[in-house]
Amino acid sequence: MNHNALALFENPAPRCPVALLLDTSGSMDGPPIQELNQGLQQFFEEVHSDEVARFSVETTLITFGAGGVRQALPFTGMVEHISAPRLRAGGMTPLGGAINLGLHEIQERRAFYKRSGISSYKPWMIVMTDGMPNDDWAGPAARARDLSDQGKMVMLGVGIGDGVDMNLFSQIMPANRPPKHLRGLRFREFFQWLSDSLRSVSQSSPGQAVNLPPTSGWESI
Amino acid sequence: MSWKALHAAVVGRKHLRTGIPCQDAAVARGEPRPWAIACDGRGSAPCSHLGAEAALHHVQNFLAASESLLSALLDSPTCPQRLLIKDLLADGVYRAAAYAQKHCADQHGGTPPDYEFTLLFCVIGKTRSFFLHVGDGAVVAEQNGTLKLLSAPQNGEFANQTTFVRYGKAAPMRAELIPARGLTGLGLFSDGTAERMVQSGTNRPAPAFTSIWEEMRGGTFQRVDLLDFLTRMDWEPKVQDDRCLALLARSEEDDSLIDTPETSVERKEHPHAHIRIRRQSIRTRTSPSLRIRRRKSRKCLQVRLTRV
Repeated sequence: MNHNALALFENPAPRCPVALLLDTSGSMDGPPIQELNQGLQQFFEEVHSDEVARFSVETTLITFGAGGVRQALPFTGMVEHISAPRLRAGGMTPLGGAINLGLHEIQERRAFYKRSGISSYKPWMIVMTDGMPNDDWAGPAARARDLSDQGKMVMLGVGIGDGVDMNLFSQIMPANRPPKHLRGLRFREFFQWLSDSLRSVSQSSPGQAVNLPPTSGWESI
Repeated sequence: MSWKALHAAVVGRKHLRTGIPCQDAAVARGEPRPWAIACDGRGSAPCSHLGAEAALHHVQNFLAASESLLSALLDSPTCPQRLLIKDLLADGVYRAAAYAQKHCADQHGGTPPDYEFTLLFCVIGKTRSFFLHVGDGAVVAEQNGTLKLLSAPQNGEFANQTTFVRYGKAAPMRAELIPARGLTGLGLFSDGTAERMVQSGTNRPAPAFTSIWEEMRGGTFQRVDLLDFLTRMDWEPKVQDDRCLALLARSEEDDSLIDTPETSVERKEHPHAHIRIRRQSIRTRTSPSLRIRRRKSRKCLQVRLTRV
């Protein structure tokens, strides 16, 4: 028999939806926003170049700051070779609205996977901020923490610079996963860690614990 | 009845890269009683490959010791207590597999959870067949000429979640009896194989199964062909997990089509019995569902012609 003629299904890879909630408020102006832009571009390149992660990871960018809460990029598969949108800083810090939109987008994406018969890994929500929220964050944060506590979402907070109130940020993030403080402007090291982590997730098998790489390269102790 | 059996397990690219041994294990036997088993070791359990391999032997030993139970459940035309015996068989197979974890822990060290695995098992009788499924992977069958998924992957809410056989603990399982009549092919396989051989969303089994069973019956698909098939380049890079496949293919005509009491009587009484037998067989092969599909198809054609 010509075994090559045997038909197999070209099933879609399980997806890993990642929502990046990025602070683009006025205080991020200057080197922070430049470093963030470079780190994002590097993240896009690295995930795209990985032979497994590129088929799994889908990213949405939600900014809060200039222009209010804005979806700068809808969920996009990293199999596409795209450039990260250039972010600019300005405005206030409506973090609650950003979490709200992030939860909504994740929910919609997961519903789309279900309709399309695509399996998925736990969604990731990454919150990066250098200040304090100036909108109603309590409700959206509680919903996000619930999902995290139930093991239905991975939620990670990263504080930037000296202006961030880490005590308040700890109240926003899940108690079992307190926010981390970025050392200096090591955005690129953080995004390197993120792409390595997502690579581990996209290669994981059922029952296999996903060991995330150490955060020592970018975390301020 | 006569069944041909094949099995193979191959290591995935991810395991090759990380130095983890193949955690899939499978075996199939065509005689004296056809049965097949496939196990996939839990990814994070350090010795699950040993557990999966040991489970094959423990279940096989259990089967050898349970022939009277199997015969009562699967071979007798009537079995009033079949639900009770089915539960006993399911419990016995699960415990035999789970005991392999304890045995491995005693022999190699560690604890039973270090040896956990998923389990797919089937055994075929003259009247009924039985299958048991714990965790992901799938069971497919060819019955009355139709390829179907008997048991879908039992995943959790997310892609890398499933359940495992656990020593001393119960696990969600699917244990069912199916009629043996018309059953001509069975396939059991792990989640790695399922990634390309079960269509996600529709849960449709790949047409490749039909071709493979047909070639097995003809003797042109041997173990080396199965290994070739599982190591073909088109599995990767998407499927980087281990892959295993345990297959059973019935190599004789279905007894029910040849030796039914009605046809035997006709053979004795009528000089042209062979013609009648042939007609009877053709009638039997055309199942009611096929006849309905044909009627619908004719109706659709008529509608199309009318519209034109």
